[in-house]
Amino acid sequence: MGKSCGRIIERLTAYIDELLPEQERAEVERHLGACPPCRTCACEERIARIVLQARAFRLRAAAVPPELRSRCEASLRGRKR
Amino acid sequence: MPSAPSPSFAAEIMRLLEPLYATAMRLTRNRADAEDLVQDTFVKALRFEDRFTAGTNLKAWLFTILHNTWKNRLRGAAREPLDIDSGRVEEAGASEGLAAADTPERILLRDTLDADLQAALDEMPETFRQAVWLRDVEEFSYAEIAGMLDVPVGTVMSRISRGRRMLARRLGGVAHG
Repeated sequence: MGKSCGRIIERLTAYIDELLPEQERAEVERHLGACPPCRTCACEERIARIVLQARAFRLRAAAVPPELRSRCEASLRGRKR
Repeated sequence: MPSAPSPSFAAEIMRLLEPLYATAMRLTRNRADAEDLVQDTFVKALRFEDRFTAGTNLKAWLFTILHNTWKNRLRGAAREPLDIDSGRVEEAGASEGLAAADTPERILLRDTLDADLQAALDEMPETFRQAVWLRDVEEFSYAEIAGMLDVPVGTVMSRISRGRRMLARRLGGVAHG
């Protein structure tokens, strides 16, 4: 890893999430173009985010056990005085 | 006697039961503990309804209670979250080549089973799993996650970064860009 890699790695998450200001984005891209190890890190981060986002709906859709729902509803009723 | 929760508040938190339970399952990794954790979170949310500022993000507030409750429970059980050896984490994951024809993203999306993805997430050290889950599955902002986990934003970002890379390697998708 080169001298400037640390600076780039710190910005990688915001870069992948498209939250970097234009100037910093350009700086990260210039570096990635010249630095294969950082490029690998960026690819890994992007892959993980894409896979998780694509599956988020199914990952989130944990079937709430009916007993849990009943317990929570009972807590609600318990407070209605 | 406790006062009744406002109907809209109650309805809102009932609607958030599913993401809360999914996240509790990722935290506890077993159903009984996940149910207890959600129930506790629910009861606390009702008790502290007056501390919730209307118009702010109810989901983020509930997730904060969920994570605090879990943290306290771990502390109570003298079970600390896994300590991370960052050096080892950085060394982990040898690169594997990929066929050039397809993009790595497409190959992984096609070949990763939901069960494999869940298993890969569950195998990750807790601190990284939490950060990645809250960002990429629940789409919270860095600042919201920092509030929930009570760590600085910079720490959240580096956990997301390393967590994502760890996950990608576990799924076997290392690209040579």
